[in-house]
Amino acid sequence: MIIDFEQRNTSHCETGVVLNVMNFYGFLYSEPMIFGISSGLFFVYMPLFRGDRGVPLVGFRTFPGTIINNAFKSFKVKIGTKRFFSFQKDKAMQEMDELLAQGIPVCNKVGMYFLSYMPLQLREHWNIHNFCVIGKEGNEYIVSESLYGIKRISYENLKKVRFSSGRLKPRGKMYWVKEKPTSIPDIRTLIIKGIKKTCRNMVGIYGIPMASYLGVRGIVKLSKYIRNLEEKLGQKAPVLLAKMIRYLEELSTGGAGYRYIFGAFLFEAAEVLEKPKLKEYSVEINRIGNLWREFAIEGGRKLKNRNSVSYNELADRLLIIAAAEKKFFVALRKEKLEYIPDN
Amino acid sequence: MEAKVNEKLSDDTGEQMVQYYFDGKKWHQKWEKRFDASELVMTKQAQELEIIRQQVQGGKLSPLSYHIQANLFSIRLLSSYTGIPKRRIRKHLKPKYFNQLDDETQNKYASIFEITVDELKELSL
Repeated sequence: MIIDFEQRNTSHCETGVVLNVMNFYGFLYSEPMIFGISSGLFFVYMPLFRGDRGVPLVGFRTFPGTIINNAFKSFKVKIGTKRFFSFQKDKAMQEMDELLAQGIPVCNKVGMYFLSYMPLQLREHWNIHNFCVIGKEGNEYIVSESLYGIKRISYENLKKVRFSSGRLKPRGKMYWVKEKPTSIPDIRTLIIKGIKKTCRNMVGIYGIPMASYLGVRGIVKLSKYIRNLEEKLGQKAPVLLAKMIRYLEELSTGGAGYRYIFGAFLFEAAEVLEKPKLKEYSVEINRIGNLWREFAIEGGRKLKNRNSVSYNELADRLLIIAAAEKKFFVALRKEKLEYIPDN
Repeated sequence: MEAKVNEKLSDDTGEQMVQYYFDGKKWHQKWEKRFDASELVMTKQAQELEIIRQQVQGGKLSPLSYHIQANLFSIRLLSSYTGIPKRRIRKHLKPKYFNQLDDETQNKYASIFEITVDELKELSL
């Protein structure tokens, strides 16, 4: 049994799930629009939280899962969520089958390492991936994977992946749309809210613990860390830099990738809100995204000994990026975007 | 905007991802391949794995430590998968204690790494 489901590919898994599910219920929005409305752009540098491989946590997006929650909340779509204990594995699969039999696509939070179709380079013990299960045939499930297209995985594999272990355990988390949405709130107010919240995230967080590691100030801290990397670690420094760049640009959408999505969002917002000035901001954030991309490429070349860029120069590049982003978001925050609905 | 990109076949290797780009007038989507730093990390991991393989064949470490490195596990992660305490897993890294394991624990380890019990015991298989 397969649900009639139109698959669209995206560059980020959480926005992909929201896009495909909303499209299934008859409301199609583009990926940048969903990303902007749920204010997904962010920067975190957390030196105290090390992964299992000793790499400090660097993120370009909000906490895993918040994009999905914010998007469904702002569209006023009611979703049901369920988690299970580890001894309820069979029950978790059974409840998913019952929902599928009613014709409801069920989204799952899974771990990435044991997924059978994942390419070798991407295999990492991360439990932050999302996809949408759209059917079952015999012992196989059909999965709408928003990064790579429609795939098939076996019953045992899905069970293992849903109950994978490590940080941020998924615990068989599944979520589905409870009530069919009939109407959507005015998109223009949602866009303005999204832009304002993103600006606040990047330049406006003060007065909470570790606030200086969030937003643009976190980029400055990261550049300081890279500047001292060789003194601290010696021979281990290149490998750690490689792992960091891998996390930044290759495993997920990446710092540049998120900026490009945000730029596309501003461009669309300019047309919806009829504020042509937002298009200038869109061009500017594209330039900043290119700077991130150049940083990753220079770092990658250094690791292969193709150029002689020092750690200081890499750190200086980050400082330039931080200054440009601060200027950008402060200006965008002051922009007047008030929209008065005409009754 | 997203219509053309989505006509991609579903049975590719998954090395490509969607990327947005700006051509001066409008935003578009395209497919892009990017694995650059990953190669260096993977070669580094292969080197570490080779060192451990030699130690296992020399009798200094047990085959369990080889499988932990090959699957990018840490002891903490393996402990949370199996429910076996961390210090007992560290004990099993030594060949003397690994050879005394009972069937239940062997099956546990083998099912986590998705191999048979015979493959768990000997590396040459």
